[in-house]
Amino acid sequence: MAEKRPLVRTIAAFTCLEAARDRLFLILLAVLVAGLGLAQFVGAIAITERSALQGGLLGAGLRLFVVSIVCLFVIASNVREEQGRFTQLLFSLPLPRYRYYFGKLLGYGLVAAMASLLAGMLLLLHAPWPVVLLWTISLLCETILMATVALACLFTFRNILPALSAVAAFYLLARSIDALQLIAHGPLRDPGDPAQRVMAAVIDGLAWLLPSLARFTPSGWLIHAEAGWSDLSFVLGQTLVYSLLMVGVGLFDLYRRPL
Amino acid sequence: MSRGGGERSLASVPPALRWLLPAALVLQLSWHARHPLPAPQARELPPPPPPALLHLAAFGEEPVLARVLMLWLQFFDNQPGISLPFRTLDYHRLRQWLELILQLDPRSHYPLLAAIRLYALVPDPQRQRVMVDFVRREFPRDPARRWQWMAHAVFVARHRIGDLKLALALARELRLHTRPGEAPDWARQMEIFILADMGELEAAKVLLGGLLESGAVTDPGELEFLRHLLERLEERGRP
Repeated sequence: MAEKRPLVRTIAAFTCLEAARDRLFLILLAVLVAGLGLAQFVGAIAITERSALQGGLLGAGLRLFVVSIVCLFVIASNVREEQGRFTQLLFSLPLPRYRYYFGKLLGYGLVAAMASLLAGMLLLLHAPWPVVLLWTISLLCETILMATVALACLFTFRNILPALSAVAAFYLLARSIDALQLIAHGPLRDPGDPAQRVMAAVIDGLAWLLPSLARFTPSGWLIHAEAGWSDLSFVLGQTLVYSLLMVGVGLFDLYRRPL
Repeated sequence: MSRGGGERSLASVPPALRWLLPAALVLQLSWHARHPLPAPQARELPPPPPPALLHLAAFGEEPVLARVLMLWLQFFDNQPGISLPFRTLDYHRLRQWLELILQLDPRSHYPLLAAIRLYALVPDPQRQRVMVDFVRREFPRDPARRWQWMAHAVFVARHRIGDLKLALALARELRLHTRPGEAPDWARQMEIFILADMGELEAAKVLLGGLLESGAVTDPGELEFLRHLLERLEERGRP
């Protein structure tokens, strides 16, 4: 056990170092500064609800940016390792592959934590700290969940373009699946139309398999300064359950990958 | 999971992992079953943002943004899971949105059409008046392009709200703000018919006579129709 820990930690540390060398944190800082400027500009032209507008806009933008940049980093870093034959070298050693996987995942988790923390710190300017704390934890959960999805997609498709497209499609669908379900069963639906019935069944089926990301990290928490730990319980539970599933998918493909 | 060639056999996957995957899937399905969709909640129409912000957000594509916003506004009454009747909408806020969208693209007919042909269908005179007033305020900014919505506003005031004075005022503004040729004659002559409806026969006769004498009407059929109308008004005016 004493031997296992350092390997996982070492891979995690190298993943963080790679993020720093990729200028990920520098890009993040630049976006935060730009976001700050944009928020000041929006605040200057708002007639009322200035802080709510600034917090809401910043929150929605930073959420999308943090999730996107971390997923992009996960995919780009793994493809680079694959092309540099580093993964093959590691897999040729007598080490269980799950330690490599968890080392990478821990590294991505740390990168996600740093990115979420920086975003949360900026939002402290426009929303009360208890709400920002919950929002930051929710963003961290969302980013970690999406990192596990990105890893699973990458191990499945093994190329940047298909993996990135699959992650983007997954994210958009997971964020809109609740609304799609409500629309599919809403008053506009024609129950006599077979095409609409099939579409509603497909959407229902997808909803069973997707995490409900619309309930994660809502800007409404920042705008209305209303959020409690009870709001976070769904986020934590869904992150745990879905990450477990994605870890299973990722490890399954990793173990089947040839040297 | 990948199905490409050159993969290692399933035996290379540790047994614990082979169990983990279906177990995690069952866990996700049961999680979904335990957390039903939140009940749909009707949202109020939000206040429109400052015009400067929208111009900035348009990235120079104001006409596109105007149409996208118009679609969003048009379907606001059909929110996910629920359908809201028009009478539940805040019409003053709705008007602000329509004004803002028209400001983004002043050549668009969409906000004016939606106001008078969609939102003015609500069976509530107060709300209908808000939409008629919106068209009335916007019409003089581009009468040659917007006369048809003003003509429709006259119809709404006359037949839906039943306010003849308002209809007359609108018809008069329609005539005064347009030159012959900018709007069809029937639209510019609406004032005469409303005056006749109101029993203001003398005023209608003066207006009609003036129109005939001005030579603005040249079509023989239309001239005949207007002369016949003038005769009928004179007959109605005799004791």
